[in-house]
Amino acid sequence: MLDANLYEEELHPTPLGATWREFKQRHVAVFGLVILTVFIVVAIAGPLLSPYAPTTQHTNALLIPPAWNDNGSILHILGTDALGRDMLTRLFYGTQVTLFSSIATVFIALSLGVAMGVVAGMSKGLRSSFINHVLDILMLTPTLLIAIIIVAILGTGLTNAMLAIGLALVPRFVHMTRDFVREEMNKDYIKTARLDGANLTQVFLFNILPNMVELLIVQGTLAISVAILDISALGFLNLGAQTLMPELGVMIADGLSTVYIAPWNILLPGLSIFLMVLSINIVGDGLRSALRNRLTH
Amino acid sequence: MTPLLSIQQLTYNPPKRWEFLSPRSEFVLGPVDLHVHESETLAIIGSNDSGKSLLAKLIAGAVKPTSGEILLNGQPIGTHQSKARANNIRMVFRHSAESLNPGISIGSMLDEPLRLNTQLSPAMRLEKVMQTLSLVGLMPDYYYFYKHMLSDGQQQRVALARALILDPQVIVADEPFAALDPSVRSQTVNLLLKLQAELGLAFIFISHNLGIVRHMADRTIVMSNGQIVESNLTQTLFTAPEHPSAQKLIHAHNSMLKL
Repeated sequence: MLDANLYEEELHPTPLGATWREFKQRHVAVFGLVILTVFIVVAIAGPLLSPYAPTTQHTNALLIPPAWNDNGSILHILGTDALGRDMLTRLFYGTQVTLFSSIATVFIALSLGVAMGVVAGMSKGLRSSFINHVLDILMLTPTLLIAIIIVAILGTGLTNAMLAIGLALVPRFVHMTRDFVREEMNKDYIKTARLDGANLTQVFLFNILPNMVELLIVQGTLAISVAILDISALGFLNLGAQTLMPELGVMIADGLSTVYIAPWNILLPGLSIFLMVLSINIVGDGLRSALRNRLTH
Repeated sequence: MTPLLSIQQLTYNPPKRWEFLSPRSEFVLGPVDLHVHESETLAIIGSNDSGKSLLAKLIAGAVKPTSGEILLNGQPIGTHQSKARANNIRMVFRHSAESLNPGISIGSMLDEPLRLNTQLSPAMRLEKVMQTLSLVGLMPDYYYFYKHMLSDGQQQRVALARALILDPQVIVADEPFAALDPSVRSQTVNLLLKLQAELGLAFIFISHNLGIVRHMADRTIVMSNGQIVESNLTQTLFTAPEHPSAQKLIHAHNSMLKL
């Protein structure tokens, strides 16, 4: 018999620690994380950092270029738009609106989709098929088109846009969860858990969910980037967030009329959207391989 | 003396499917009668498709029998996934690698049966997990390890620890030695014999390796086509098999020994 006190290693990395150790091996992913962190900090602390209110109009400073330009002013570091609103301030608020509404949308859609998928995956026969396919009709058309239809029925506004996009995302989550749960339910380790007396809820929470994190991260980040693009697209089309709200898509639409004399008005919000989506995808990809490597290395 | 585990008229017919989907004739198990005493080792041998694994699963409760009763200490075990069964009859699956959850640490894997079936506090559960780890010859460090960090033999030990942790009276193992190399296999065999001597377990196992059966088992039953065709003391069975399928298996084994 081995002596229990023979030798005990002092540091055992927690699952989170092990994931981080794998994650930081990939420099691109860490770079993405830095960008994403900047966006999140800006989105949270934006109101504190910004010198003006997002709707304040500086009538004596219309269409001022960014500060590094010869005509720029240090009072408006990223310039102003056609109504004299400070670009930096609006970008802070715009990031807040777009990023957080996308994350909230995906979070709710994911919870709903996973719940339905789990019920479908654990039940059999007609009930399983029904739950699985009841929302499939939403998969027939592209996300944006469904969103437009729903906005047409319910009226414009950010909440309705979020509702529409969330609803369009649910069936995808239902399908992925159901397929995954079905596959896992046939494995021996679920049988052993069942023999231990675990009920279906316990089987899911303690046995399937730890294995599902990777899938959720991948699909969740993909969905967040889709949601960011769709929410700003609806804002751009004047179907989502309305003109007064500092939303990135709305800002691009506002800047479109002065694009030749003030290109920064669409360039900067567009760049923000691009960087947000890019960093989320990079981080999601990095997290996925980190989570996978954690369980193979 | 009442046997520890007694199986009476156990049968299993697979549920009917639509004929055109499964044209093959259905396999039927039983009726099977079987008795196992305390600290007894029972081996189940037989050719492929003879229902050995199914019988093991029926005993452990992984599959619900069509009819028949399983008595533990003279008391019928009720439904097919009850607490009494989970506490007293534990199963080790054929491929230990697949019966361990890849996503959670060994510690939480061993903790789960305790959490579900006992009233122990977290500290006591931790202590019990550590005890069980050392019982099967694993270091306390393994509490934090994941499945992929372990070798086949170590995974086998974890699967065994998972079966032992509730202090069961019966362990049912489906080919526990199949995937192991000879040295690890003999280690595991010795481990099991030692545990059995210490804890007084009844041990039912399925094996294709008749050498191990002869070494370990007190009694051996031979299955063929879902029926027990012969049941005898191992020594008697190996010297004078009666049923043709038993003769086939034993002769094949003996002829290999003579080479």
